[in-house]
This record gives sequence, structure tokens and C-alpha cells, in this order.
Amino acid sequence: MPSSTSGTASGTEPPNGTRYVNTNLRDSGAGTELRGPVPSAPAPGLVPPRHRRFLGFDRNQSIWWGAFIVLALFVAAPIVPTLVQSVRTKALYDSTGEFSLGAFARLFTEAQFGEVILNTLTFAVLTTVMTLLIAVPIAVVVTRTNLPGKRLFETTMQWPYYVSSLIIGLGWMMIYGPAGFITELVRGIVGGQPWDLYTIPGMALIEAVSVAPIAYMFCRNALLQSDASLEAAAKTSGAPPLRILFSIVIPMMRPAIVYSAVLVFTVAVETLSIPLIIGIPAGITFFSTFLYKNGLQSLNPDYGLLGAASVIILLVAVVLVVTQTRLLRNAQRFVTVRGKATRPKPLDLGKLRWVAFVYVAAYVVIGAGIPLLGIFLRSFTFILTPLRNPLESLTLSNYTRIFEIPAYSGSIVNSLVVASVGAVLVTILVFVVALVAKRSSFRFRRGLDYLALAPQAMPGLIVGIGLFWAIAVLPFGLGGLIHGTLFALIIGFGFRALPSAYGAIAPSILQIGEELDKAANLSGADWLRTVRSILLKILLPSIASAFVLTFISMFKEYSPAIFLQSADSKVFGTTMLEMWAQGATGPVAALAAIQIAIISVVALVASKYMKGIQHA
Amino acid sequence: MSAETRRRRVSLIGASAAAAVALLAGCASGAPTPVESGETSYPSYYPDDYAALVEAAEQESGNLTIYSSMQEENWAPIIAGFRAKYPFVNQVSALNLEGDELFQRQLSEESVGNATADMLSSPSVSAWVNYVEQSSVIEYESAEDTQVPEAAKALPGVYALSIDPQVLSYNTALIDDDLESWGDLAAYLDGGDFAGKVGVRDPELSTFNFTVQYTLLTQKPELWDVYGEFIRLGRSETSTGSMNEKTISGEYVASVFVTAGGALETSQNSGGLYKLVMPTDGVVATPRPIGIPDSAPNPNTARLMLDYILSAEGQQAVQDGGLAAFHDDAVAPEGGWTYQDAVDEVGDAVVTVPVPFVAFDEEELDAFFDKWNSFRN
Repeated sequence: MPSSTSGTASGTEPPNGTRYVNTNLRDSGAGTELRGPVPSAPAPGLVPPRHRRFLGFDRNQSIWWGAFIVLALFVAAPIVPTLVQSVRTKALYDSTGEFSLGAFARLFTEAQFGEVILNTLTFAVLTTVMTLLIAVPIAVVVTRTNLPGKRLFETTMQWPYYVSSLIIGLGWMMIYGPAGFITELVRGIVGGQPWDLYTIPGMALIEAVSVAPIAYMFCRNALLQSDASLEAAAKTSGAPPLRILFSIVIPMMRPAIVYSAVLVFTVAVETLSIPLIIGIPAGITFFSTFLYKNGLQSLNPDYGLLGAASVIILLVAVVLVVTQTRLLRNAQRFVTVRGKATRPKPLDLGKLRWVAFVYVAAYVVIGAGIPLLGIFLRSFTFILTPLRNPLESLTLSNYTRIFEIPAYSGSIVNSLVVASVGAVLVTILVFVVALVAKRSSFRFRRGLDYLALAPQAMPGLIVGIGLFWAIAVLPFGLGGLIHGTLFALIIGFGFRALPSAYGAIAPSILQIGEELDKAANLSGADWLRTVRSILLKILLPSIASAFVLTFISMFKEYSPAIFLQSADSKVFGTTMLEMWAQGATGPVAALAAIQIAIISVVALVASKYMKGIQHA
Repeated sequence: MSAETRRRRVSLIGASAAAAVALLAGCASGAPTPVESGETSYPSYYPDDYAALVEAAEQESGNLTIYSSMQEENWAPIIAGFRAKYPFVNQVSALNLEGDELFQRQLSEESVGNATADMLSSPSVSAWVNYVEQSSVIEYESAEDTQVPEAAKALPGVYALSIDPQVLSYNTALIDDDLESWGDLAAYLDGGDFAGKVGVRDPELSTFNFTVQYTLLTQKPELWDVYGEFIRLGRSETSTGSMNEKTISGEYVASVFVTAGGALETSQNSGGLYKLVMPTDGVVATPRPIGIPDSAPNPNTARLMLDYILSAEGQQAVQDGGLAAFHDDAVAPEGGWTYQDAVDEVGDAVVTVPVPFVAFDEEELDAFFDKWNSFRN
């Protein structure tokens, strides 16, 4: 077992801390790509720094192994039951089930399956492309140029992410659907149906609008951390602003772009909301709705099929992550945070800045603002339709209904607890894991990358079922204690939020030059000390955005809760779903408005707080 | 897997042993205490020893957990009424999941000995049939049994909480005619281009959607022609909420089979824009059964709740919560319907899901889906 090799700290062999220093000397700057033999003897003339030890173990090693074990358990908990389920003929609870590969056979012989795969791939590719087309240019112009109104856009760009894509979808249908407010307006002018959202490109556009903020935040983090000296050099050599953007700024964002692309692609494969609310009426079946139909909602739920399908998505994700790692192989090329700091100066776009302004404003206003305004208006009305003046049906009843019923208001409190506790735990875990994965000589560091991104591939419902079983088999009666509590939800939601939190931190680490670590090392600091005194400080903005991202995604998450919540641990998302299913659209809109308000406050406080720290 | 089986058995034995101990303890400590709850008078047809049941319930935890596919608003008046009647009940909480998911969850919890639900309620016929096949319910004959119509007796020990009419809804700004039946709607649609402008439940998307349409079209096969027109023009929908919303916005001119209770409030607040119609040629009334699983931690409190729900008072609470009561004495709000109101209004047009629930015949199912889909393509 791997743990036996960790005993290096005790014997005659030099502790790994020594290796770490040597590695840095040898690879100079390419520490993220440690390969080949590592010399175990210190370089001549250098004395390995002495590190404090904890119970005879190198404290760095303890942290590395600790991070690895915690993450592995965390990720394996829902995945292992899913793997078992995929080869069982009946639900896990049914002991009459047998082992069989039948589910895989059924999946691939299902007549519709080829079409489903094709639809899903088209949707996922379109979503990914559109997301990047929205997010990358916006991140660049907002962060790096003299775009008019950039302060405002910095905040509003994130709004679509504050609500689930279910709400974005509802808002879009309300405004741009076949009988939407804007659609009716345009129809009046051009005559005839101007566009059709009941198509795969239409749905991909809505999904892209809804997930673009994730990619935006990743890219923005990368830009905020990159060193402006390269740009300054280009400027000095007479390169025009556009040339600087395309030859320096955008290529430097490659890690962030690749991370976002992989993440968005897997989200698009797995997502249920848009395929459910738009795909179903359009008669277009995707992977998630296929599972929905043949899984839990069918006359005879096929658990094996659900498991097999999850395993397939998991494999797709593994392939993607492998591709991603290959693409980022020469990671030191992207190192832009060097030992010398230069304050970035915004690039002057000249008149082009107004083109950029229109582009950003179009996304913020048309993509997010108007649909969310529609939801907001819906929350204050009995009905909302282009056929009637909304002012005639104004009401507060959608809100009073939520606050009058304790189970509803209680679910808001529960969500706050789950999201804040969860965000703290996940951010800490992800920070440590990302550092070990990208910045240590830990032998299994590459595995950490895969582990951290694997959860993205699991549909939320399956995560819920998997964790349910994992909790059930816990020893010492722990299962009974955790079952149905908010803690179970924290684990389930945290699992789902892990990849995006990781994506917020890991690419930023790649951008920090190793000479900073080396400087610390030569001054006698061990790994932990280096992390604490240097990396932690530089990475604070990324950590903050990982926290906010995690908070948000855990606050709006719902699908794992179907199996994990109890009557006393309901959350925001499930309440919303429950009301939606029962026809209460007004209160759902009110809940969405409350959700946006709460998340805005959290995001605002977090950003103010982080600014305070940076300036101190 | 034998280890798993063994573990499961052990936990089940453990659970029942604990239940037995609790029951014994209940009896032992319950005997000397005087009967307090006798103040509440019960109808003459209740069993003589009903007070003993109340007493046994008093010895339980004082909490009641229900897994249902309703919403909090539906439960609020029922819970309030029940707690007023039995003040020793501290808390009644409902976990609302979709009709099929809740049974999957219940079965999973039972198998690991973590079952917390005292009552289960779902309108899904097949989910109930599957559940009693794989597990079991307490076959409690309610004290109200003699008062309950046959249509509400889904399975032994499992009674309908409500019997909800599924109706036609349409947008009065887009359809001038006064529609009274499915035939009227089909005739109206015949006149123009309405592709994609009708909301229709997709039978593949939920067992409830399936049950509604299957019930109508097997009991009134003459409606296939009319209904086929809706399938041909319609978009697939999953829920009443979505159909309400799209019909009001004008995306759909009409929706087929919205749940009357779930659409009533919207209709009443629409200023006449959104109209609900009890079609004179076919209304499906779907029972929403509730029962007590064998694994219920508080079976006696659950029995009291079941009796309360079926009583005249409880049925009025059901109606007040927005579902359709079947008790003759229940009164619907202005514009709404009890089950009896629907029957009074359209008579034989009301078809109910056959009881007792049985599994659907596979071949008939396939034939139904084939026929349904033939109108789509």
C-alpha cells in the first residue's frame, strides 16, 4: 500500500524536504513539472534546512498525505456505490439483485441512445464555445483595459451565477420565449417568429449565459495575478493594444481557459435544468433527461442504468481531465507572477473601447439583466404576461407566503448554514489540495488533480444516492447520526462544488513563479512555511473567489438533497423545486429574488473584505 | 453480498425488537394513567376502544414525519387541525418529494434501518404497487372506513387523502369561444395553426402524467381522436405550474389536464384571463393515497392522522389546503371543486383511477405508448 513508502522521514534516507529544495535548484522554474529522477544528495555547498517534526514525521509529508487521504475518501464516498450500482441488476437496497453488465448493454442498445448522445454532444460543444466567447473577451476587457463602466461590470457579470440555471431558463422563456415580452415586441416589428429557443443552439445559449460567470471568474483571477511587465515590454517595443491583447494577455490565460472549458463541458453534459424545462417541451432528449425518464421517474426505475450512465459520464470526464493535463504540460510557460512585481496599467483601447462596452453590456443587460428583471417582476405579481399590464396584478403575497410557512423560511436558514460552513471547509480543502498538487514533491500529486475534478462528472441525484449508501455503511452508528442532517447535505453539496473551487485556485498557482518558493526555501523555510508566508498571501484573491463560488454553488444546489435531506433539513433549492412542481411560480420567483439578494450581499462583503486585506 | 443481506436482516430485527420494547413500555406505563383525551368526542361509528389508540399514540415520540408529494400549503391546515385535536403531538413535518422518488428513498432507508417516515403519500399508482410488493404497509382499517367512498380505497390500509379532478385550462384573451369540453377545444384548434401551442402532459416523464392519460383513454377510448389532436399539436409538459405559466403568457392557448387545485389560485388572480373548465366529456379524478409503512416509528400517531384526514373535519382541511376533498360535507371555495362537486357538475364524465391499485399490464402499456407516440410523429 502507498502508505508504506511514507516512512522516508524516519530512517537514514534524507527527508523529503531535502528533495524539495534540490528539485527546485535543478529544475529552476519548472517545479510544477517535476519529472525524472530526483537527486537525493544535497547539492555541494548547501546544507538542507532543518524542519520541525511532528511525532517523527516530516510535517510537510503529514500534510500531503492528510490532504490526499481526506480528498480520496471524500471523492470515493459517492463514487464507489455508483460503480457497484452500475453492475447490479437491482437497486442497492434490494438484496435480490445480482452482478451483471446488463445495464451497460441496455444503455447502448436502447434505440434512442445514439440520438441522445449526439444531442448531448452538440449541446455541450455549443455551450462550451459560446461560454468562452462570452467569458474570455469580457474578462479581458473588464480586467485589463480602460473599458467604460468597468467597476459596474465587475459586479454585474457575476449575477447570472447567483441563481440556478433553472431560474435563468425561466427568465429567458418569460422574456425571449415564444410568447415572451421581447419576442412579442420584435414580432410586432418584423412580423413572424423572430427566433426559436426550442432548439439545441437556443438551449446552449441559455446554458452559456448561465455558466459564463464561472469561466469569467477563472479568467479574471488569472488576469489579476498576471504580471504586467510582459505587457509593458510589448508596449515599449511599440506593439499596439490589440496586438498586446492577442499575443500576450490571451495566450497567458490558457490554463484558466482550459480549466473553464473542461468544467463547462462536463456541466453541460450533466445539467438537468435546461434540458428539462426547455428540452422536454421541444421534444429533444439529452443525457440527463434520458436518465430522468428511464431512471427515477419511470414506471420501473432502472437503477443499474442510472449507475452505468454515471460511470460513462465519469469516464468522459477522466478523458477530459487527461486532455487538460496534456494541454497544460509545459505549465511554466504560463508563469506570470514573478519575484518582481509591476502594477498592471490598463490598456488603452481607443475608440474600440466602445465596441467592447457594447459587447459586455449586451451580455449583462440582454443575457442576464432583463431575464432576471422578469423574474423579479414576476415575484411581485399574481400573473405576468404580455397580454396584461403587470401593474394590474401587483402583490406581495408571493413573499408573505414564504415567510408565513415555517418550513419555507426554515429552508432559507438551513441553506445559509450549509453554504457558509461548506464553503469554509471546501475552500480550505481545495487550497491545501491544489498546493500539494501543483507545488509539492508529493508522489501522488497528479492523482489529486483527477480526484478534485472527478465530482463534476457525477449527476447530482447520483451523488445523493451514492452518499446515502456511503453514510449508511459508516461504522460505530455514525451513519444514523449523520443521516438526514445538514452535515450530510454539506458533504453532498461540497462534493459537487469541489471542482469549481479547485478551478478557481489551481490555475492561479501555475502562474506563480517558483523563484518565490525557492527564495523562501533558501532562507530556510520548509514547504508549510513557504505556503504560509508567500503563496497564501499571493493567492488570497483566488481563495476569496473560491470561497464565494463555493458558497454560491452550495447555496443554490438541490439535486443531491433529494436523497440526503430530511423533513427537518430542507434547503432553498428543494423548496423551490417543490413549489415549482406544484404550480407556485410566483413564490418560486420570490425565492429566486431572495436568493439573489442574499448571494449579492455575501459576494459584496467578501470582495470588500478581501480588498481590505490586500491593502493592509 | 451475503454480508449485506445479513446486515440488513440484523438491522431489521433490531428495529422490530426496539419497536416491540417500545410498545411493551408504552402499555406498561400507559395502563395506570387516566384517559385524558376522552374529552374529544368521536362519531358513533368509531370503535369503542378508540381511546386506547389515542393513549398508545400519546406514548409515542409526539412527532410525526410524512413523506409526500404535496406542498407545505396543502399540509398547513391539516397539520393545524390535527394538532388542535391532539395537543400532545408536538411536531408534524412533511418532506415533499416527487411521487416516485419518495418511495425509492423510503425503500433505501428501510433497508439500512434508518426509516423515519410515519406516513407515505403519493398519487403514483405504480409506485404504490411496487412499494407494497417490496415492503409493506400497516393494513389498518380506518375508523372512518365505512364513511369513505370506494374510489378512495387504494389498497388495504391505504386511503386517498384527496381525489383531485384534472381539468382543461385556456387563455381567454386568445380563445374567444366558451369552451366546455375537450371536443370544443379540438374543434377550436381545427380552425388554425396551433402547432406547439397546447400544453400536454408527457406520459414518459412521470408516472402521474401517464396515469391521468391512461385512465381517460382506457375508460373513454372514444376520446382518442380528440386527444390525438392535442398530442399532435402539443408540447410535452411536466407539471401544472409550467402549464399555468405558459398558458397565461400566451405561449399556449390551452393546457390539457392541469390539477384543478393547483391552478385555482392562479386562475382566480388572473382577472379572467386564465379559465379552468371541468370538461363535460371527460374529467380524470386522481386519488392521492396515504398509508402507514410497517417501519413507521410512530404508527399509532399515524393511525390517528389517517383517521383525522378521512374525517369530515380533516377533509375540510384538505380542501382548505387546496386539494379536492371527497367527503360529502366538504365545501369548496368559490370557483373551486370538491370531488363531489365535479361529479355533480359533469356526472358520468368523471372517470377515476381504478381501485384497488394493481400493476399495469405490460402489453397494454406498450400499446398505449405506441398509440400515443403515433400522434406525435
